Amino acid sequence: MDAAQGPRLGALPTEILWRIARHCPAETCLNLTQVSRHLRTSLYDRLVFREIIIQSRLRAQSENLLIPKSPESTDSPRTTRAAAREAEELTQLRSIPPNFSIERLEKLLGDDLQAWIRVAVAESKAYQINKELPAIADKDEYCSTGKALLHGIYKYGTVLSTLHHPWVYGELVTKFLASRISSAKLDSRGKPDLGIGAGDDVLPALSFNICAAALSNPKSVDSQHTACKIIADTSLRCEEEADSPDSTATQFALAACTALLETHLDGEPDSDPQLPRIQDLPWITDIEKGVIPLPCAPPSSSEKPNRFVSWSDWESDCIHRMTDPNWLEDGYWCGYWSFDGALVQGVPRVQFADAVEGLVFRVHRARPSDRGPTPHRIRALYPNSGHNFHLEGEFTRDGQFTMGPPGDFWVWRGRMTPFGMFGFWGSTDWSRVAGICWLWKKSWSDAAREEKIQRKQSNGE
Amino acid sequence: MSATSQTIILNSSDGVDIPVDKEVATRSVLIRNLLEDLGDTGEPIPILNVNEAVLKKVLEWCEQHKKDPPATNEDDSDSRKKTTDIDEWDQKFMQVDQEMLFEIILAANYLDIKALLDVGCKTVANMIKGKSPEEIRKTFNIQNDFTPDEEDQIRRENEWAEDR
Repeated sequence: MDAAQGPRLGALPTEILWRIARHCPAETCLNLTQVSRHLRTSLYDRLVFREIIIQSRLRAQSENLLIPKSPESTDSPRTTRAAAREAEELTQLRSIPPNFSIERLEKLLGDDLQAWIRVAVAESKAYQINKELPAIADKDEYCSTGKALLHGIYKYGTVLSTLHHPWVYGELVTKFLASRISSAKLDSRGKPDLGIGAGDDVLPALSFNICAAALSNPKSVDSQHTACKIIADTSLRCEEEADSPDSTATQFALAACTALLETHLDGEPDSDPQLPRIQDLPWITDIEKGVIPLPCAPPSSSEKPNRFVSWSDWESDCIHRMTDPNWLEDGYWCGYWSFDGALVQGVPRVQFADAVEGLVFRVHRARPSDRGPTPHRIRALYPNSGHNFHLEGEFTRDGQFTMGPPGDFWVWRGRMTPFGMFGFWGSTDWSRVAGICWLWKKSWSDAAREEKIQRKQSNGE
Repeated sequence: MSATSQTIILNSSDGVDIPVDKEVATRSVLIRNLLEDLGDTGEPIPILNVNEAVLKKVLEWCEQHKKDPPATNEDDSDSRKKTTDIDEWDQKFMQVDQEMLFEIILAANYLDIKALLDVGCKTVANMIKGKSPEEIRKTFNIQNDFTPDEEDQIRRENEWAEDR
């Protein structure tokens, strides 16, 4: 019988193809659009993927996959009070949907079809991960499934974290990530092996958002402690292993710092709100838990408040503003750096120098050259330091910096991030890394403080 | 009102008269509207786009589901069911060759039987799930009519979605 005689999938009317597509996972629908011209014309459409998102959320909700729960929270005996508290927390999590509604997606994504597809695929994959994760979450041995899942969490979580998607705030994902991070062993190159294998090298840029999101999960147990531990571990590891500033560990430390800084910027006004309190930093364990909002929009993104922010968007869009010499020179910078770990009750701890306040940058603009973009020369001056603090070095247009005291044996190396300049400092040949360095614009703290005071006043009235 | 069963006659596109319970036939919104508009004249109702074999198959489904709560008019609000599961009887019912499957879908669309259309579309979706573009082409005998350039562009566009 000639199959061409009867109706075929490839020739169905668009309205029916849409009905089929809404029952498919987003990635399958994406495959359908690559089959033939007719299927592409019919299905390569924002509304198709919007509908797929709605359907997949409904399915995930009915299967309890929207917000993953840790297996032990159902297994272990609980007091009624703990159970009630958990129920309340879950209700709060489920109340995230105003942020997570399809209307909000409309605002964020607009007509950007590629963005809709990415979100649709990421959500679909995330729910699949939730189905598979509980079975392997507590296993030490890492099978290929585990690696694929971890890779999936990084890859798709990065997209979802920019949307406040409840999946990212799930206990299961957070705990899984935290356990991977804290138990990571060093691989043969001295880098922390997070169980991803070969993909490790491509992950740093992807993993930033998901780490920040996971660490900032207000409901996750000890997320702040985890953040602190990661910074401490990474600093120590860098000292011991001369870890590259671009490594995955660095990204995690960066995410952890981000989480802490966001806590600070979002916290309640107190007597000294300008800088994070020294006791908020990694080597102290009793840290108040904070609620850290994501997405990690760059602080200066007021022109595009609803822009869909991903790491790559940030790199292609905001980095230009945040590496502009005028912007660097404008106003004061503040921050912290850490130094050699000391033994505290037998455990090595990273220590932090007093807060930096009032550091300024002076930039010697590089002229454009035929050989491509040349880095700017940059000087960091810190008149309030009480001694002659003065760093000089280079600042590239993609935000990498290297600077140190002229003629001295140590340098700072790092990159511009949505939350300021973050990096490590150590010997000029990088054979020894002494600690982290992290600076942000003082005006961010000031603005955050004013906003907080205003909020408090309007609440009080 | 229609407590007792009443028979009407449908005339398929290939000219065959098929008697059927009114209660069964009116699972189709098209037929229900026709009967309401024209009144019950006793004349065979022509079903222009559906042949005998397909119409009988569709009516078999309607017979099985005649006691289901009637579909509401609000198109999609109720069909956003929280599952893609297809019930067992429907699964068996849909075990037909591809040509018949798509004929049923088109007939359900024409006759406006939302629930049957949904079952058909879910069945096709299940056949597609997890397949690569090439596997979909093979399964459904679809010709790749993209130019090599177009294909290349599409591949590059979607590289990010591949799981390594």
